[in-house]
Amino acid sequence: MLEKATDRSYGMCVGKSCLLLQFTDKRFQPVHDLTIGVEFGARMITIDGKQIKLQIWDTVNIIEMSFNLCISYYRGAAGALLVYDITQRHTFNHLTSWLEDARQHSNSNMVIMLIGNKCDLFARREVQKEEGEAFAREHGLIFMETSAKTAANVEEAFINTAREIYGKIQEGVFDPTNEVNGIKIGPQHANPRTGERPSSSAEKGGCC
Amino acid sequence: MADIVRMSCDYNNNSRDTNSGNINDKLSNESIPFSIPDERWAPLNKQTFQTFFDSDGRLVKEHEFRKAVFKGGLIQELRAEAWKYLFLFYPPLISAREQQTIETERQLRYQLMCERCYKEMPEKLRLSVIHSSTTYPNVPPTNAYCLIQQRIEAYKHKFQWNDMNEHIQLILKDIPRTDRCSSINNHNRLTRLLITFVCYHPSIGYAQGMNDMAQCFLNVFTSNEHEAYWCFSYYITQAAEHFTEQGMGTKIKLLPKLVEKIDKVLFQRICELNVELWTFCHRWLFLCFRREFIEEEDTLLCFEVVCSHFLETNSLMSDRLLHDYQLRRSEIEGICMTTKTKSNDEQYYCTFDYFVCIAMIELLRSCLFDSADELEAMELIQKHQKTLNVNQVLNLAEKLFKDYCQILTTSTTETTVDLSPVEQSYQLIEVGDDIIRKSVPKNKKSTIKS
Repeated sequence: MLEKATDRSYGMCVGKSCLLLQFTDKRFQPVHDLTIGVEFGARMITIDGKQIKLQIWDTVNIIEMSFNLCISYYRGAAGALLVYDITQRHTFNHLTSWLEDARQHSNSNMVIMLIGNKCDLFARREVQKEEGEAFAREHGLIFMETSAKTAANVEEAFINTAREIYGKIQEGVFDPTNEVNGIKIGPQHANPRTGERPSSSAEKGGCC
Repeated sequence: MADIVRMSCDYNNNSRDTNSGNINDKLSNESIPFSIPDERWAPLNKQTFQTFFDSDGRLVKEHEFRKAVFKGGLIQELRAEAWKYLFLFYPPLISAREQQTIETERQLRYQLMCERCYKEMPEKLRLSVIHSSTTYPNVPPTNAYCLIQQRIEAYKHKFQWNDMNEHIQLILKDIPRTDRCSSINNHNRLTRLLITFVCYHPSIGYAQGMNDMAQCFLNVFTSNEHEAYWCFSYYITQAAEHFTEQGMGTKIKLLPKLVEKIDKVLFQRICELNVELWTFCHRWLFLCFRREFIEEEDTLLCFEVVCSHFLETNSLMSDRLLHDYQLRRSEIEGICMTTKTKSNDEQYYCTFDYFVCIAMIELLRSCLFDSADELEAMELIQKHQKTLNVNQVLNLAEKLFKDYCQILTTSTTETTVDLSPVEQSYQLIEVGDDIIRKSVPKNKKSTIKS
């Protein structure tokens, strides 16, 4: 299974690239070069004994990009990580507009996980955990607070999103034979031409 | 000449080549349909650089200068000096004495501009800047007349702080996230430079990525911040379009068209993979390959080659190339070709960075052919792109540009007949409306394409 995620920012430093780095490389780099264009990360995980390859897109500034490029980043995303920074209220305030945007341009079944990052900086907290939970409940998202620095919940965030997507495949919501959904199946479901690759599904995540 | 020969030997035995070795081995499956010539020169040195000037210190051989930069880049010690000519810090053809005056004036003006930005900044904004930025410290000794003149220049412009707030906040956020920028002193210089630029160019504003470019100029002009500012400012106003949403969109749209013309097989493969928006090279073009080579020296080389504007649409050299190809063709086929070719090849305004980009894609083509889908291809490209040898890329880019010129001359004759009805309508409308006139040639392009 292959997961693909778009990260998004409005130049807000919420820690998307750091989250990705923590998940793929298990390390924290406090200062990360400004992301320009797209960067990728990938990691194999196992869910219910099935090997899944998560493919994550880390992109930037979609809102400022032309419409066409924007669609390209959403295309084929099965999931999105919507990230705000708990120490910066305005990143939380942008969530609504991002969510509208994402729902409009993406597959309606895309799994969206809301993430309040930087929870290690609780002393500077501006957004309460309850607010994040309420927002997630209201819009039907999964919610989690993470810290790319201490790695708290980072694994869980990505893996839970993948699990959710996997669940949707089991339920038949996602048609894994249709690549538009961002999901690709490997050998056991047979596609002789791509036979040697592990089974795959895709997720794109996004954040604000 | 000896230098050039040695250079090519160096390049073949280059230790960095070992990195790209794997890629080249793999390329045998789907190898590049071009032979890559080795026509790079040794970097321009001081001695040769001097020969471009006359006895008064005027850069009289500008074409040769740009050619030398294009062909070989610059040696590190010469870079700061030569960039001042490349980025028009000095107006063209002025003598060494006048250059000195300009140098003083520009230093003074920059200092006054920084000072004014800081002074007139709204209190609230100043508080956020205060920690990271101070006024420009070097006050050049100067006469009163010059000071008054520069003060008038610096204070002419009206500031619009309402719009600036957002830009400045964003700048402050991006400073610590700038590529190859480490010390606090560096942060101060970068902040000051960018804020001054934004205040004086509100129509352009700040776009993420400008910080990387500004840092590049600061690295080259080390202690002379004002020189970095003026050269950066020239570069950005030239390329301003590309830092906007539309500009980048246009670039990304033009790239596939060029690839289709130059290498159909590759183009089809990229379409097959469904990466039709070419996401993998957005950053390459956006930052002018600033992050695509490991060594800073290589990125600077690539940047100055692109900025030499020696080989691009409408440059003297490309016009000459086109002319030669046309002549050669008409000799063979006996067709008399006139200005029609000219009007047709202007359909795309291609700067050299497109060709550097295509050269990189060509060199990474195994990544595109060996992978099963878009994502795999992108992952492979991301993994391998930094292993490319800059001289190899530039050599191929030059060759591709020449090929493109050749393609242009051949395709023109084929379309000459189809063109005529469109051209008539073009002329009819020309009389009536300026705006429509502009849009009609665009239709003409699509007619040619279809």
